[in-house]
Amino acid sequence: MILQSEIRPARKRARFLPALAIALGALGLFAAHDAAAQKITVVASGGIWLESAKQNFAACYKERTGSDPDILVLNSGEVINRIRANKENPSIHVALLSEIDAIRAGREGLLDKLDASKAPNLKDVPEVFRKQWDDYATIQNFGAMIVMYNKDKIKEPPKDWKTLIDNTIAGKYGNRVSFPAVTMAWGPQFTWFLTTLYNGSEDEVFAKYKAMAPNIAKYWVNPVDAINMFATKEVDILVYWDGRAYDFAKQNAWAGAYIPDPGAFQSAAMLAKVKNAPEASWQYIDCVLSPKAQLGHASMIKYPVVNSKVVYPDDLKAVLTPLEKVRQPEFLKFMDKIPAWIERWNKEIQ
Amino acid sequence: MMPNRFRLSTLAFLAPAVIGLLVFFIGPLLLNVEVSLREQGGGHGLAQYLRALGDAYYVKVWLQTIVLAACVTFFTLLFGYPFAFAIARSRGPVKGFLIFLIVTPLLINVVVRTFGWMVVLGRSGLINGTLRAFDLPTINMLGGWFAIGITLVHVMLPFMVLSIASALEGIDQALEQAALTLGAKPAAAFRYIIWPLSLDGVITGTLLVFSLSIGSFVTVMLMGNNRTMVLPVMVYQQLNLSSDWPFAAALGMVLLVTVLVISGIQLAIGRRLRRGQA
Amino acid sequence: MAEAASGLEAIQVSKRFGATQALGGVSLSIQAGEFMALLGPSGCGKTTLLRCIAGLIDPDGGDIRLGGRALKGVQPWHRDIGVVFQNYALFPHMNVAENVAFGLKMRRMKPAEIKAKVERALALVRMESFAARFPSQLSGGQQQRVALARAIAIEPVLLLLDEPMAALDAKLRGAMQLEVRELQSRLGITTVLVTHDQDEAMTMSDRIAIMSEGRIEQVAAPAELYLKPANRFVADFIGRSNQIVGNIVAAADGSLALQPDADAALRLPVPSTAPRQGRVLLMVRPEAIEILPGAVGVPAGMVGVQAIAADRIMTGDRISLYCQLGGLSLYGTLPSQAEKLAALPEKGAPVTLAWRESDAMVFAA
Repeated sequence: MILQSEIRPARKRARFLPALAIALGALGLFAAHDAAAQKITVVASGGIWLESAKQNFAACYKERTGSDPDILVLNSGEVINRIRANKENPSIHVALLSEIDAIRAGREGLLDKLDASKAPNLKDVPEVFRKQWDDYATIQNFGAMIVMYNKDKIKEPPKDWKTLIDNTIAGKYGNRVSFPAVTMAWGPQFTWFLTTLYNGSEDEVFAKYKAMAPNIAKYWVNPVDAINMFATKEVDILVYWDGRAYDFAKQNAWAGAYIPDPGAFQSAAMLAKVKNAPEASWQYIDCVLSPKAQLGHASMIKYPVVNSKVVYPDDLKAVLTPLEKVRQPEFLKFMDKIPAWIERWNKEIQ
Repeated sequence: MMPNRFRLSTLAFLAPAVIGLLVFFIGPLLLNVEVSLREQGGGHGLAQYLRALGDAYYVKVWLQTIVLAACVTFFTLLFGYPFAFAIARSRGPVKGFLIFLIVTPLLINVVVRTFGWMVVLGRSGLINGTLRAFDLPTINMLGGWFAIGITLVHVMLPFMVLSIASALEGIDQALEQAALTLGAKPAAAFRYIIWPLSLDGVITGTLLVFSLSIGSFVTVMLMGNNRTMVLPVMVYQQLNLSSDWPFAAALGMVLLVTVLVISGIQLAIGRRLRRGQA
Repeated sequence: MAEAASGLEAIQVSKRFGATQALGGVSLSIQAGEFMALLGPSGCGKTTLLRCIAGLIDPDGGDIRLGGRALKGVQPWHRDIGVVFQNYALFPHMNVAENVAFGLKMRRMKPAEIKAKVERALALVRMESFAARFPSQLSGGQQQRVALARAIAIEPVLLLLDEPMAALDAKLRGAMQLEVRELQSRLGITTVLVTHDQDEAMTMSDRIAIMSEGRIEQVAAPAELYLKPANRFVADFIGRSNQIVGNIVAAADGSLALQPDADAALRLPVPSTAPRQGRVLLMVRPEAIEILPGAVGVPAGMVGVQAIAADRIMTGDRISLYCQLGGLSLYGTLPSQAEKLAALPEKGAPVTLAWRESDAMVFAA
């Protein structure tokens, strides 16, 4: 058997004792971890987002409480599923959720209402960032979906969304365009945004999706995959997040990024306190919303933040999508349609 | 006395496995069945299953899922068998190198591996770059069944190759030589001796590859497009986008039953083949 | 069997595996219907030669001719050579009848013909009633019979047996040796047996080729090999012997004698065929040594020495008596019979060891 003779190392037994020692050590660590009662668990996105969470939010929390929070890198769906799994003793204390998951979590009673008496910095977060969520969550930072393009191939990028869509349908860019799919995590929001351009008609938007399909290289689902397609010049036009788009354009002379008229929809990361989470969670939320941490976060991730006391330096301001250019989706109006949209997307856009 | 005590101790040894199976497998499975039977009004019924099996689109997705896994299994077998043969027949460092070569895909994260294939298959990738260098038209190979298939075959190969190689290594080389001296040409020796005796490995390999590839979803999501919908991606969407747990659970059960039934058929065919060629 | 038996001729066959010269220009001629054994220690090249004949290995040089036809470039499946492999190599997924039918099926014979030939082959090895069994359900001896039936069912012009008895226990081995030999002579099929067991080779073969380090040392009938070994290797390899190394010296009367290295004071008689000087090896088989109690003197027509009896060792059918002669030890054997045992000298008693001059062998050392 090759499995035995070739792969299984002969030294296996010799390694058993050290492995046991490590395992016992790890058990000891877990025990010690249990003992530190007020340790809280929070969530961040990966990469630079995680770095920012450590440097800005966790640092502030450590300054105030003397302990480090555990930071998990999870997507919104995983976060809400984990909270649902153990409501009495949640394994996540401060959640980072998509807008819709935040609304669902609020409705399901998984969250505590945000309380300015416990997190004073909330007072400086304008109501618009919390209203649709009934104060169960607040936007932590937001971005917008804008257009990236290859300057070498696209001399005159279309000024507005409708022209982009019509040109794509007309095959003006070959099949080298990529839009987000409805099945992408923020796809339904983008779909809602397009309905606002077409008199609120879903049918018209789906007709456009369908008409564009032959000239779309790929309706993207995975953000890393999408930026890769653009970076490898697989596509010349990509609808993508503003922060990363500007950053990419800054580093690659051939790439450009702009906001087509009449602006873009706001997409946000929602911060929320999980019900039954320890009190210390409020400290972390207050930290996230503090002007200093908010500015630090914005400088690192290149997305606007929500504390009205934050003053951006000019070079940062240049790459942040201004609030007046973004429209906040009316989640309450369309969120119940999402399953139907996804089914329609799956069935119609082939 | 003796047999009784023996049986008790056997039970004691089995207990952790049985408990583990109950807690981590049967339990969640029953919960999943319960969720899949929930209906909108609050009662229980077969509504989710009727929705899944009564809609031409979902039936098509179900068939696509099966066909994808079957094709991946077929091509993995086609490419894997010769490779396994080479491993079984080589010795020393060459053998070590071949095994290393076949196991490498398992050492690489699925996302990284998939992106690797994007680099190869992409419009400015290896293949198209070569085509362009010879002034030939380029082909868009990304975002479709071809790209999914090639990526899945790549990652599934080690399972197939190692199963078959271990079966081939168990075959005494004297058997093949005996067949040759009895008048069998190499092709006949393969057909009548080596192939039937390696069937156990082939069956193990195809079962593994089929059940792994019918459940694969990261690769399908990254390499596919909206046309290349399969059940696992569907389940993911229902969970994460539509938040429709009962439907997701029902689709998951359909997938599970499909795998079980097809594996059963595969086993039966394998057994028949073995007997038939004896 | 239908086909006439063919003679086999190997001419200067050589084969090299890396740094090892497995066969160094081996020539061997086997007559039609003859039973030839290739005998030698492991690594002597006997199996390599067998595989060259079967076509499983291509020799580097030389020629092998079977019934006058050159085998060079003839694939194993076209050679019509039956092979019984060491562990029988029965196809585990086929039953006995299917195993025996395999070679016939490959020859695209009609099913009825195959059936008849399978039955006949199984009858020859008395395995008719086991046709439906699978190899795993058979004993070692039964598997061996099936392997033999499978090899002869194709009516080969040559039968090769590769250590066919190695996996059998001693009793069964003896019975099978006789049975195979009997079958071979009944079928008159030319047969080559590879073995490292000299008893087996002697029991079964017409002639034996002794091999060592890729060459043939001697080809002869068993009795000749035993009694007239061509060289020191053969003499040493076949049977047992007293071996004394020393120098040839001239005695006072001008006759020649051996001065053993082990005790320079001794002088042993050597046959008149011995070289007149130099280092030699004197070999006397123990059963050729007559053991006479007491210092009675050497009988007429024999040569011998006076010694002191030491240990006796019982080895079943024979008993060995070791004797001390200065620094030298010699031994002789007797059949294990009560009266012979009773007559043996006690330990420490003087004894006379005598042998015929013609029973002593001398080789250059």
